[in-house]
Amino acid sequence: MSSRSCNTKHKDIYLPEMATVVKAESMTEMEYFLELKMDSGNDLGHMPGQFAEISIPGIGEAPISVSSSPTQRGSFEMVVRKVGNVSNAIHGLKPDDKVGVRGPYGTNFPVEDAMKGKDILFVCGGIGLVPVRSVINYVLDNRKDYGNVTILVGTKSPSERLFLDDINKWKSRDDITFIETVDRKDETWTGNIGVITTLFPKISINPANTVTIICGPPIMYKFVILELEKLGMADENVYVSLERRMKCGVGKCGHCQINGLYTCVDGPVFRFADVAEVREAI
Amino acid sequence: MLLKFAEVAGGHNFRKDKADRYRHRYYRKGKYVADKVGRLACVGCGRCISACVSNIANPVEVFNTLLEDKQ
Ligand SMILES: Cc1cc2nc3c(=O)[nH]c(=O)nc-3n(C[C@H](O)[C@H](O)[C@H](O)COP(=O)(O)OP(=O)(O)OC[C@H]3O[C@@H](n4cnc5c(N)ncnc54)[C@H](O)[C@@H]3O)c2cc1C
Ligand code: SF4
Ligand code: FES
Repeated sequence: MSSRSCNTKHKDIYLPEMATVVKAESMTEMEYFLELKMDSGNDLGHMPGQFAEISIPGIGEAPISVSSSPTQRGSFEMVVRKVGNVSNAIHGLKPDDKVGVRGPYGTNFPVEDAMKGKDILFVCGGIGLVPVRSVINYVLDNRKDYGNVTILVGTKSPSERLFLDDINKWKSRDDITFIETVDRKDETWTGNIGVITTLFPKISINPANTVTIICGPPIMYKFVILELEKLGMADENVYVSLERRMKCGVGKCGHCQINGLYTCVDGPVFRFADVAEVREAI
Repeated sequence: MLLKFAEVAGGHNFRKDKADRYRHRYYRKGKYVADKVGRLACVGCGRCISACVSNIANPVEVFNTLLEDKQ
């Protein structure tokens, strides 16, 4: 076989594979939880931090992060916030309904290389917990491969909190530190109040041996990075997941450009040191 | 240069200013793709030129001028 024949055996990159909804339920007023199973019987084959293009026939396609860890076999999970055409249609899905899936796409958090053997600090704001949950559960399922694990989660208000089952599990483990806060409390809330940076005085980390993972609304990155700089963390050890408007998801259309970087193939997970100086990135 | 082009789900817009969108348009057609595949991403079809009444954004003229200047 000539080397050229490898390239000609191409798969249509725009052709989705079908998947079936196993479980679908509302998580909050805006967020909808989906468990999906590929009709091929295969796993999606993602790594933590990657996304897939989910399509609803006749409506359209949207890039959505995979929220479950690849250590969960047989199915995968996503959480979708209702913002427009596709996401509204996803909110109407019921078990046994079909969706199209292209992916997994993009870069992942370095769970098998840079993070191995290191202490890990997770900083998640709001819907940023959706992709990071995949990393957290991957790390916890391979707990012995990593050092100290610290998880910080910030949410606008108690009613918008996601993954309450996971959070209760994380809270009850004594081999990790889990701290949560809300920006605004309501009558049900007795925990921390304040933006996520107010949690930093409560934690102790060894900056030289820690890898930090940040995912949240665009505004959060600047402030969290300032805190990390105060702690003496190097930009090389910080990984961020960035969101940009996408179309193709495979590096063709350029819609997701951050200057010359393509969020869909060079990201969505970037090492902070590689984007710190890039205009429009953070 | 549509305002919503770089807006994401949470409402954040990475290119709120017209100047940033104008810059991006030229870099997108003339630099990012060119760096990646070695050719300009504008084929000179003129569709955007006829849609732009005030003719402030004529990529054919801009790219041709730049290329001629370089020669
Ligand atoms: C890598 C990545 C991972 C993502 N992960 C998740 C996730 O796990 N859960 C989730 O709920 N959402 C996620 N999003 C955002 C999601 O892709 C958009 O909310 C979705 O595409 C909106 O499509 P729509 O048809 O519902 O909205 P539309 O009707 O098309 O537009 C409504 C508004 O949504 C925003 N929007 C539209 N398209 C995109 C887009 N491709 N990317 C970002 N914003 C867009 C715009 O602000 C637009 O004004 C992710 C986006 C990216 C790039
Ligand atoms: S002339 Fe305008 S519409 Fe035509 S390819 Fe160039 S940039 Fe695109
Ligand atoms: S979404 Fe098309 S190039 Fe990234």
